Amino acid sequence: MVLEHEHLLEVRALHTTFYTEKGRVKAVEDVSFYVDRGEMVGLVGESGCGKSVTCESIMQLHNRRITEIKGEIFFESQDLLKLKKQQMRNIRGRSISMIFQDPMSSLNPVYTIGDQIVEAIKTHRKIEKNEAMRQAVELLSMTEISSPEEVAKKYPHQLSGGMRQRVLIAIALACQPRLLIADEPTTALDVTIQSQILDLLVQFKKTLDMGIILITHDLGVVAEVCSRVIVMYAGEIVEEGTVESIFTKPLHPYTRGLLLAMPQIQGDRNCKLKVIKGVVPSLFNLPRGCRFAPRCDYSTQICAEKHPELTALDSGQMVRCWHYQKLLKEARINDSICDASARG
Amino acid sequence: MLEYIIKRILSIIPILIVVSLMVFFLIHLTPGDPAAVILGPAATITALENLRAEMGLDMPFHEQLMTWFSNVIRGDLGNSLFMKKTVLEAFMDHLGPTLSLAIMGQMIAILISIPLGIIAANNRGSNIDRAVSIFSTLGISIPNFLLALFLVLIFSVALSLFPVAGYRPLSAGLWPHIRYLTLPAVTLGIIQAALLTRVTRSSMLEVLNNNYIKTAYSKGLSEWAVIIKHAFRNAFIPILTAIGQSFAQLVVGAIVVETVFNIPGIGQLLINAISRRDFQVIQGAILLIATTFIIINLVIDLLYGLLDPRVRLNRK
Ligand SMILES: Nc1ncnc2c1ncn2[C@@H]1O[C@H](COP(=O)(O)OP(=O)(O)O)[C@@H](O)[C@H]1O
Ligand code: SF4
Ligand SMILES: [Mg+2]
Repeated sequence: MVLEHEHLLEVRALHTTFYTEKGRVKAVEDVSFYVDRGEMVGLVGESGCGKSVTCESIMQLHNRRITEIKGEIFFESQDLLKLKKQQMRNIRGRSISMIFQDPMSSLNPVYTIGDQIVEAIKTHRKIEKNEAMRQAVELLSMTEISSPEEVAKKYPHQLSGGMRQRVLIAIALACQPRLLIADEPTTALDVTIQSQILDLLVQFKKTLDMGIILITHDLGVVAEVCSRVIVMYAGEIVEEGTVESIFTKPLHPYTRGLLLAMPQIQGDRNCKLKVIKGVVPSLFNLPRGCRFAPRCDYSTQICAEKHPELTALDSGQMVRCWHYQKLLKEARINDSICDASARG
Repeated sequence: MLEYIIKRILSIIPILIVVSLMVFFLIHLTPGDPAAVILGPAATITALENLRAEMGLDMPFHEQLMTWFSNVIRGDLGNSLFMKKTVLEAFMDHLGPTLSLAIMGQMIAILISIPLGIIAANNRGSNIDRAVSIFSTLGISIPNFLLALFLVLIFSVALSLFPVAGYRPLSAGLWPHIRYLTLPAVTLGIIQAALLTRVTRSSMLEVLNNNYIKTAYSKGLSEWAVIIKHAFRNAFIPILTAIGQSFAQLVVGAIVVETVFNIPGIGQLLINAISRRDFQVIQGAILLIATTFIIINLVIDLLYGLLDPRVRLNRK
């Protein structure tokens, strides 16, 4: 099949549904987006909005028996959802890698660091164990771990959280993938380590010309390292655009809420920390109209009744809201959103 | 690691002391005079006194304790009151069949339970999982003598594949040895397997929830590589503990199964000793069984250290 699009990854109308004992869970609905080479895309939203499920659907890590994935996931012009088990295995770890949220539990406690990196290398390449180990040590030093030879002989429980996250990055980069999915890679780490890890990702993005999907619920992180942002709410994309446009003129009340809830490091006195009221709705009991309506300050009759579609603006920004024009005007008139992009 | 081993080995000494004390009190605190119980109501005074002297019951309590203790330490468990043997000799004579039975039973249990538990966990909620769960519920609830009788009816009486009962020592040849032990070992094995299947399934489920399983899949490993190399390798640690702990159940099961199949093992020794009130043998056999149990658990603890680097490297 010849396809004209040149995106590294293009997800089209992704629907991921789990069939659990409690019933059907539509965790991801009609999600479409793309990632280019050498680009870092932020995927944000509160916890439970379907960010991890979206990415794990790309990797097809879910239990097949209870999961239905529909749509198309084009990676380098082939639809990953049409691949056979074996073909998908060749993609995982070689062309697409993933780093998970909790570095404490993402490494196997009974194998050494070196062996776990060697496994990632040897799964896709026929090379000698010694040579693979040499490369593993090299990968460790690339992630700026000091005394990599010694670390390679250690077990996960002997390393700190930040070190383990570096090891996971080394594993993910073992075969120089073209796409890296980082699922909240810094959430569990303290602030200094966080920025070191982000710096590493930025650096590898450049040197390997890699596309990166960075999942996070920290918009500050997105402002620092991403070029585009996708905002998810209750299993759907509600807004998408460049970092600049999202931070200066968010058109969805949810995005706006997330921005207002950001802790302001620069300490603008007029801008108080404002948490979005309410919680993410249960997937078993979604509002009929706009899923954000119960928590939205702009909500009107139509919001409660009709589900808004994702609308593309001329600027390329996309938004799923009946009243985005109201926000567009507001954003122009008064700059009530704190100038978060200044930190970018 | 050496430090860990030495610490573990030293730690069983107080346990052994407590166990031997308990065994001593077990006999000496049972109500009534052991000599009178042994000889029955028709015994003469002289006979009673002779027996008391022979058993050391005429000594003051603390001296009896000291004697018992120093004897135990020297490996002297006394003489059987009925057989012309020391307790240790009697025990050794009956150890072979029980050992063979227990090993074969445990092997059958492991061969059945581990694959079943793994498959059930990996297909959680499926029909396979349900079938495995029915098997383990049945296996846990069926009394062992009943299962033994069923197996005998099917495989010995109806199909004539195996002998109904009896025992051939290993010296009579490997094949007869195995043939006679098959049905008893299968009985024991199925009941053990039921328990171990549950343990395997639940510890696999716990491990499969870990993020490192996702890491392993996202490296591009095949399902079986992930299940065996990453999941089972971790799940095996609690399974091993369960195997160790289930040895007590295995021994109890073996005693019943030995009786049903008329196997001259420790079970038979104990049952005979109890029915003849052979206190020395009861005492000695209990102490030896308890010691075996403690040693098995020591070995398992050591394997633990071998399997789990967190145990090996952290417990200084
Ligand atoms: N295997 C699963 N079975 C059923 N529901 C799931 C499963 N995995 C995730 N979910 C549900 O999907 C929703 C999205 O989860 P997730 O993608 O993990 O959110 P997040 O945006 O925090 O990463 C949650 O409501 C979660 O409960
Ligand atoms: S559609 Fe209505 S309820 Fe939904 S975000 Fe827009 S204004 Fe709020
Ligand atoms: Mg998540």
